[in-house]
Amino acid sequence: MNDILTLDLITTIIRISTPLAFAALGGLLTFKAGILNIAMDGFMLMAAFVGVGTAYFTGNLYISVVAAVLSSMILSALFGYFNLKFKANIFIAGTAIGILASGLTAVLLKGVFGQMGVFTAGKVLRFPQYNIPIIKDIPVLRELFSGYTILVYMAYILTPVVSFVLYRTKWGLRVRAVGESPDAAASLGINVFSIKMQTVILSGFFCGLAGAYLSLDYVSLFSRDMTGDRGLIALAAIFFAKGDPVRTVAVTLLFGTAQGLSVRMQLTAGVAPQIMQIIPYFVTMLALIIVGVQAKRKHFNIEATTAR
Amino acid sequence: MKFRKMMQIALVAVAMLAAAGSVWAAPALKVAMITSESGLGDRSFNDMMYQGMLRAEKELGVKVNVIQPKSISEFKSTLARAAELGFDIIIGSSFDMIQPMQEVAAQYPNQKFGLVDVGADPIAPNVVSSVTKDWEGSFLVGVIAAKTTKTGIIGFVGGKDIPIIHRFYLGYYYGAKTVNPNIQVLESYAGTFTDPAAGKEYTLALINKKSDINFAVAGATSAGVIDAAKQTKTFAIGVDSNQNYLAPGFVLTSMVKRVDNQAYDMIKLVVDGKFKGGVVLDYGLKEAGVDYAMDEYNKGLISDTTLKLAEDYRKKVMSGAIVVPNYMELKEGQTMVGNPPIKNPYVK
Repeated sequence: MNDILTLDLITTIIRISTPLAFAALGGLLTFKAGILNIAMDGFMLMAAFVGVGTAYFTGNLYISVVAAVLSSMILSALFGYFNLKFKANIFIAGTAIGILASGLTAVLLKGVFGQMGVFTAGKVLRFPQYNIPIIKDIPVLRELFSGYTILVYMAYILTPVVSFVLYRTKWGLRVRAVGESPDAAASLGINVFSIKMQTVILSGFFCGLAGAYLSLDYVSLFSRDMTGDRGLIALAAIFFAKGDPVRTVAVTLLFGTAQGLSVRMQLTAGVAPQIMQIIPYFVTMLALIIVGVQAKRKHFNIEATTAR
Repeated sequence: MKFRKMMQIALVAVAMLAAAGSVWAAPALKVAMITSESGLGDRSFNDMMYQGMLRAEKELGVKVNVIQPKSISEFKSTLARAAELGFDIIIGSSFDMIQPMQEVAAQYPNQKFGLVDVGADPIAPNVVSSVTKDWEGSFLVGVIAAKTTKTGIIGFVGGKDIPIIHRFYLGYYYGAKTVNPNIQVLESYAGTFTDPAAGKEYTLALINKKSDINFAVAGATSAGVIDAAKQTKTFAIGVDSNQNYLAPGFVLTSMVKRVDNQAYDMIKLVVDGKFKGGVVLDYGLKEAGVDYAMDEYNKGLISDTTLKLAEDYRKKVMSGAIVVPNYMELKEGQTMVGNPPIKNPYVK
């Protein structure tokens, strides 16, 4: 067991959790505004592709991240427009965006770059890792805070920012109001469409960062459907934490821990890989059951109070 | 009437020439190659198979037409159209073509078909197919890895934990253990064929355990294995098609399926009049159906002594002196595998 619980397990967990955290931060905004965002994998995939493609042409990682985020935001605007303006069913719109992203990236991969399956930007481009003075010499703190790339720091710095915006600003209040009772919000003069649209496009922003992290930082390549349902896992984290930003990111770290352990335990403990790989999904199921039971109890309580 | 006589002579001469021509140079056989949906330019199976087609044109004098369906759903219509045009043999290059080919082959029972790199089950009475003995190729890259590692520990990243992937592992393990009984071979499965990030994570875990060469048998997940090798300055080994170019200097070699040779041989069967449908051809080292890839991207990564040793072992496998175990043929509880016998990694 000592082999598994080494300090760099922390690094592994943070690496695995970062794309989940990004996507979850975006998804929780739409969640709070009352939109079930199942298109996040599509946004991420588009961003991952545009990121690598831009890196290929410009050779600049930062321009690539910006392009990736923009592409994801455009796709999210399309998703929002379908759902909010044309009243398309959210599942159909979300699935359509997922299929569109999967197909479009595959077609462009072949059409623009003449590649099938896997595409690398050619030159080895990697984000620099920042070693923080003093902290980098202290074990545990070092693994927790030092030696990461800018995108990882961004994910964890943006978490309290999103929390602040959601609970301490007028805009955040409006988002929550729209989510809890759109009719009441509208009667108070809040533009429900506009607020919902804004959260959708912001979810595109965050998913763009998640996709850029996947294809430019985590690995330096694009491959078809490379997001591996991370958008859906992020959605599970959001449900588990009921959309609270700090808690949601904590849940993504929990998922990351399960995955990180499953990678190592296969080698050390000799346990069947399937059992290990089931952990993240098992945790997700467990999470949803707990939340479901809690919600039901609360519901009973409300009924009890209203009956009185 | 002199003119008329001359015309008659000329006519006879032309007729004789034509007759002679048909005897000496029979009209070239027509071959159709149906690519998988990725088409030519995929740097993978389609491109490699096309090389076999070019060789057949040069050496066998056949005429090859390449037809490129855009999607899996077009396979059936494409095969039917080719059958309608009447080729001497129609060769497909995708696992996904099994069912469409079965259906079309039944509609055109006199048309000859071929399908490379599929399973051990016959496709149809008028289809010849081939199965690649990938475990023999894995054996050779295992030999190379065991002789190249500096740490004495090598790794394996499979896609899903399924028998067909175990087949690669067993060959790899067997090759490594044959040349170095003390070597440690680490086995892991990423659980997915489409997630490079997961592939990278599993590889980093192997590297963390001091493995310095990792064999990736995991589809697109393999790209992450290669990415991890590049980042940590260790080696990856590619699979199926030549992946050396993906990270020059960090892909030790690739275990390639020589679908070019498989397709070429199918054409040759037709040319020689030996074509027999319903037959499954085995392609191991002996039949040049598998190999390790050497090109400008991995030049100098493998020492000459190791290469020589690998060639020695190739000959031993080809002659039958060494039998590389096939995972699918393992018996329950079998403790030793192959010849020479080596401890079966699957019996704990």
